[in-house]
Parts: sequence; C-alpha cells; structure tokens
Amino acid sequence: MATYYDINGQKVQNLASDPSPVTEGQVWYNTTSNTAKFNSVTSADAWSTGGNLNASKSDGGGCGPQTAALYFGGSNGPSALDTTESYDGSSWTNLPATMNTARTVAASGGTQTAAVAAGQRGGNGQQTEEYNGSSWATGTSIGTSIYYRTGTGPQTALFIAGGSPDGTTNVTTTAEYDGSSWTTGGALATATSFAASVGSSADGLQISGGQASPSTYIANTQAYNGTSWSALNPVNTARKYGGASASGPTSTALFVGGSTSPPVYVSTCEKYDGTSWSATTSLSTARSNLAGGGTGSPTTALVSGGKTSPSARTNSTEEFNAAGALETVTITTS
Amino acid sequence: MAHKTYQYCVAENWGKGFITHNDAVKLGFTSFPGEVWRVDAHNQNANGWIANVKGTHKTLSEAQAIVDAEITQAQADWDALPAEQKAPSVGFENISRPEDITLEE
Repeated sequence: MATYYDINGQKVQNLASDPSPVTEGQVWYNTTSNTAKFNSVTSADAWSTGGNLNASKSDGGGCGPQTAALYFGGSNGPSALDTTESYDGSSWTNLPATMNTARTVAASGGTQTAAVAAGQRGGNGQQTEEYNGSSWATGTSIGTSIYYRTGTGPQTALFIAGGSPDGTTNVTTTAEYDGSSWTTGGALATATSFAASVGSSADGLQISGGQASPSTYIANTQAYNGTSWSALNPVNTARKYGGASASGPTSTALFVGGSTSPPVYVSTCEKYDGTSWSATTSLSTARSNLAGGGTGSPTTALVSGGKTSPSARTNSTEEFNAAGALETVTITTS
Repeated sequence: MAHKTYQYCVAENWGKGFITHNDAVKLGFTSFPGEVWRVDAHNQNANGWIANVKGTHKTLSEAQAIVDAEITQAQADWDALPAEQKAPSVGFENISRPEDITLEE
C-alpha cells in the first residue's frame, strides 16, 4: 500500500501542538492528543461546538477571534461576576485577573492583551475598565447613566450607543472612548436599546434591538462612520440581546441569537453582505444575552454563554465557520 | 402511523468536537433542557453522531419527560422568587416564567 510519503513526496509532521498559522491541505500528527489532523476548506456555513466556559453565565463582555478570545464579567443569575476566562480555540481557562467591579458588560472589545469593558448590560453603570493581558485597571467613567445601551470596539476606539435613561424611552445618544476619555458622538438614526454591536467608533454597526417599556422590537440596522449614523436595510428577525461579529462591519457582518417577542430565545443567525441580511445556519443551542460574538470576522465567529431561558444560563460555546473558511479536521477511523 | 421527522438522545456536550463543522453541515442540531438533543430521524449521519458522542437514544415521550422535569423545576424556582424579582422593572426587562416546551415527533 502506498504511504503518504509515496504519494506526496514528504512525511507527515509530528508536532506537539497544532501549527499556527496553518495552510490549506496541511497534514500533521499531534503527538499530545495522538490524533492525525488536516486543514481543509469548509463546504458550507455551520456552527460547531467549542470548549465550554468554566461556568454558566450570561451578559459578559467578549472579544477576540476564535483562537484567542476573552470572556469577562457577566452574571450567573444571583450574582454579578468579576471573572475573566481566556479561549485558545479549544478550551477556556480561568485567569487570575478579576475585574475591579463585578458586573454585566454593556460594551466590550479588543484583544486578549488589550481588552476593554464599559457600562453595565441591562443596568446603567458607568464604569470603564481596561485589561492589559494580566490585570484589569479602571478607566475613565462614561459620565452618563443609561440603561440598556450597547457598544463595542477596541480600547482606543470604543463606542456605546442608545439605551434609556429612565428605563422606558429610548435615546439616540452615542459616546466614544479613545483609551483615555469619553466624548459625545453622533446621534443614532433610530433610538434603540438592546442592539447588537460590531466594529468600532470609526466604523460600527448597531443591529436590531428594541425598547424596554412598553416592550417593542426594532429590526433597523444602523451604520456609524465616526461622525454620524445612517440607516441600512433591516434584519429579517428583530431581536434583543443578540450577538454579532464582523470584519468590515459596513460590508459584512453576522447577527446571531437573541430574544424575540414574547420573550423566546432563538438560535437564528443572519449574515449581512453589505446590502441586505439573509438567514444562514442556526445555533444548536438557542440563547440570548450571549457574549461578544467572537468579534474578528464574519467567516469565523464565536459565541459563548448566554441565557437559554429566563432562569437558565449555558456554558456552551459555538464556533461559526463560513463556507470557504479554513478548518482543522481530526482524522478518525471507524 | 405518523412518519417521524426527528429522533432524540441524551448526551453531554463536552465542548470542542462534540458537534464538528462536518457534523453541522450534514445535520441540524437542536438542544433542549436536560441535555436532550434533537437530530434528524432515519439518517445515517445522525445515527453515527449519536454513537460517536455516546448518546442514549430516547423515544419522543422519554425525551419529553426529561424536558418537562427540567422545565417544571425551572418554573418552581421562578415561582419561589420574591414578587419584586418577578415583576418587570428597570434593569431587569427580560424576566418571565419559563415556558413549557413541546417536542416535535
């Protein structure tokens, strides 16, 4: 029988850990897990399971791509959390660093070595904290108390928008953080709470959302260019507390999970192609109040945690790989 | 006799590799309380996935009983909350009693 060397003219590499970066068609043997692996191009959009968080939680902050993500803060139901977990593409690890204030997070972004958390999801907290890869430091307070606002962006270009000062009427307010101070940004085209956010204060999206009381749902998509917000085509299924991911938010994005009226937690996932939203493959675990969306790319997204019912939270992670994305596959025989 | 669209199993989602990208391309997966998973019936890929994850096959009524028990407990937990925590209030917009789930055949 022909060997791999006979066919390809080279041997399969023995590696203690998966290579990075990895190229299409690369084959190797992982001597730690004792598994043969190869890298292939995916044939269709799909969500697969990732490593489970070390605890079930919702409403935390999230950032980073599939192979280098963070989850921080959030809630386990009875208590707000100050914990930080890091993800390496396979498993979550509890980090020693804890946030200075245990809380849910309204706006988050950045990387594993430069993350930011601002505000309080659901609540009206004003705290800003920055993570440098080893510890959390307090940043400048947002300076306004607004419920249900949301946002995202890196440490030096974060935005937070919408929400409701009194818990009822939505506002159009936007605030921008440059790493040291908060300034007022342009007004949303449509006042919205509970939106999903992608991008940065220079190039961002607020996706869907609604109003708390009376409870309404808004399908609008709004784009921010650093100065003003403009209306884009709406999503097909309006939701609150969804997650989102994007690489160039005004050209491509992903909107996933959330809750619809009456409060039902959904697995729905929609893709934005720069013009309109269309349905793509759904999550296997319906959830709202999920973290981050694994910001980084609409072709390789990550969602973790969230609410699966009004009183239940999950620790599960799901990874999105779009058709055409590279994926590492473990070779099994049966 | 009605044609079954779905089959059910109980399996623990251990994380990475539980549902692979290739699994998800071939099958639709839906999870329910009690580690109940729904996949297509009469499907070789689905049968193979259940075997791979060491799932325990459940009939519709068995799966429904597991889900019902979980929901009943969640509803009891919700009922036991103080009234002020159950009423919608500022900062706690999204609280409501867990609803029953009816599994499809």
